Amino acid sequence: MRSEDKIIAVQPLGDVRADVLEVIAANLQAFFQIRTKVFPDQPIPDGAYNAHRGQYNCYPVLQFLGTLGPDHAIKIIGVTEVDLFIPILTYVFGEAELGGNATVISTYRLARGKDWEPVPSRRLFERAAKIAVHEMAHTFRLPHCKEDRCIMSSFPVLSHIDEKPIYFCRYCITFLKDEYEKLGLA
Amino acid sequence: MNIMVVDDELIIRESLKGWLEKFGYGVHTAEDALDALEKLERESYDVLLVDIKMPGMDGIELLKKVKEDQPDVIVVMITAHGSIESAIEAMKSGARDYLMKPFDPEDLELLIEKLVQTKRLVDQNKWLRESYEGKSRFQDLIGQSEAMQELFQLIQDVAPNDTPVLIVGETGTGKELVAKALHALSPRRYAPFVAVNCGAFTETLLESTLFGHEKGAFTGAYHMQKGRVEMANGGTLFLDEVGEISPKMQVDLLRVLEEKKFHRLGNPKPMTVDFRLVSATHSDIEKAVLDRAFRQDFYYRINVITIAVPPLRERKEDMELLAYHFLGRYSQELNKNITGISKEAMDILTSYDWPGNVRELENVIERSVVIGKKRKIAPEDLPFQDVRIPRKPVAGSLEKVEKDHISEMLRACGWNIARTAGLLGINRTTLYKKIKKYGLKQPAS
Repeated sequence: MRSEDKIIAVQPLGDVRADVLEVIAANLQAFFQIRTKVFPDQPIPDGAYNAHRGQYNCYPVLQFLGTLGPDHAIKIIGVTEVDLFIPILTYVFGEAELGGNATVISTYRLARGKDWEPVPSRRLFERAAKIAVHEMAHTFRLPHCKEDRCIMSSFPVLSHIDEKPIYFCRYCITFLKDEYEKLGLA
Repeated sequence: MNIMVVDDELIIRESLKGWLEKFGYGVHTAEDALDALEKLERESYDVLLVDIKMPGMDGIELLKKVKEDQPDVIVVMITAHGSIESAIEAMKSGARDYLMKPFDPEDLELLIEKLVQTKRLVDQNKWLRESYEGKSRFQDLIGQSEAMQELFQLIQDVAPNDTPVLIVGETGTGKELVAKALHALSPRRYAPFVAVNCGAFTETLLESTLFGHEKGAFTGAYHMQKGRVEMANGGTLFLDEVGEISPKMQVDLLRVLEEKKFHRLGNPKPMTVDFRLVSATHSDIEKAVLDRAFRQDFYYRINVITIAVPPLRERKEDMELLAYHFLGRYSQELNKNITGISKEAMDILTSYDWPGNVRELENVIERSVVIGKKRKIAPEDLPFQDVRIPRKPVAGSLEKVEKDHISEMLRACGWNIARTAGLLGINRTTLYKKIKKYGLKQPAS
């Protein structure tokens, strides 16, 4: 299969706004220069829900995503509107394993403001695009970056996300190119 | 930054590992305290994230052990069962911080940032400490004690002149190193430093060694041989154990020192020579002079300036510095990953009286590195188990103390000469000589 035949699969989990999925797909395609395709939604696996926390555990979701997507999908990104967590953290905007094939992001907190009020769609689109690009880059083995303005710097709170431009620093671009070469995508 | 996550829950370990790896840190995990201690024996870690509640040894106990052995390691306690009491206990025992899981992402990031800064400070402290230790090194001599600092200053003051120096001090204190330092800091440093152990030769052999001989000068002199005096021309002649020189040789050497001339055996033609004389002795030459066993004129000639090297027992504040110096050297030479000395082992080293001084300490550390299996030298690695360690000052003359100590060491080692000599930091020939000198006899078994 030629590298241009490969795709990034965008997988809605449960009900997800179509415009948000489109924005995510368009930004991933622009940044990673790999075609994206939005697939029909799938339910979130039951085992991911933690009743005690009232949230969904990212790990079973990532496992589930690993079983989805067509053969030519080089990576898959799950998008959900429910609140996500990993066992050590109270919440996450998204999660990916370094060098893994799947990532998942949640718009649950991205759609809300400081006082939990809904944010305008433009703000939500921007945040969702940034988180999607950031988490997807982790699957290409990019760790967090010390360059503050780089999209790969860490942003644990919403205000940090809003402050950052959607941009890879020159080091991260180099690392990404290296990984593309390794994967035969260059 | 090298981090270890210690938690009995696999999901927590892996989750934290994955999260930290995204920040570019090297992360290892341990499922319990014993696993963590084993890993700490094998590898160095900057930060430990330790769960308080674990089966077997709990996190607080692990924290105490780590702080005792590796105080520079930063430990942060994590727990889902946190209480103020355990937090206070952890902080009192040296934990850097305390977190309840699950963590707020911002808190965890701030904590990691704080740890990076702390690590930087720890490294800086270490660097400063090492810089300070730089002051405790002088040529190849090591010591931060007042006595050693005074010695370094004296060497520096005396070195540039040509004045003869007599170095006094017990066996193994580093007299030859002092002589080498004097040479290295003198204008003669580019010329040879020639050492002669006067105690190792018979009178005739010493004469030939010092002055050389022509071919056929005596039976067996098949070739012309330059003497050490001639070899030291322009440099420094170091006469070790000068107290052992026979009265006849003292006369010959005195003439060389006064006239700056000597002649090879078998050649009447005198040769001019120019060297600086540095001598050393572990014996009481002043007493020998009074007893007329040592020539007074020769004594005054070699002893224009006296430098006394303190015995190790009088500068125990240097023990740790010296022990770590030898540990570093032998770990590297022997390719062993032994980086520390446990507190118990260090207590033993400090309480011992070291009759063989720094040389004995060096031998003990070398031996411990050879047989040591852990990252730290432990009491069982030290050769003192079956040796009574004198903890109180022993009354009596130096000779009596030496005799008693050798006798005790021989007894403890079952009269194994090689082992006893190793422990005493002397060679077997010297030990045999001392056994003979003190009339020591192996008890009939």
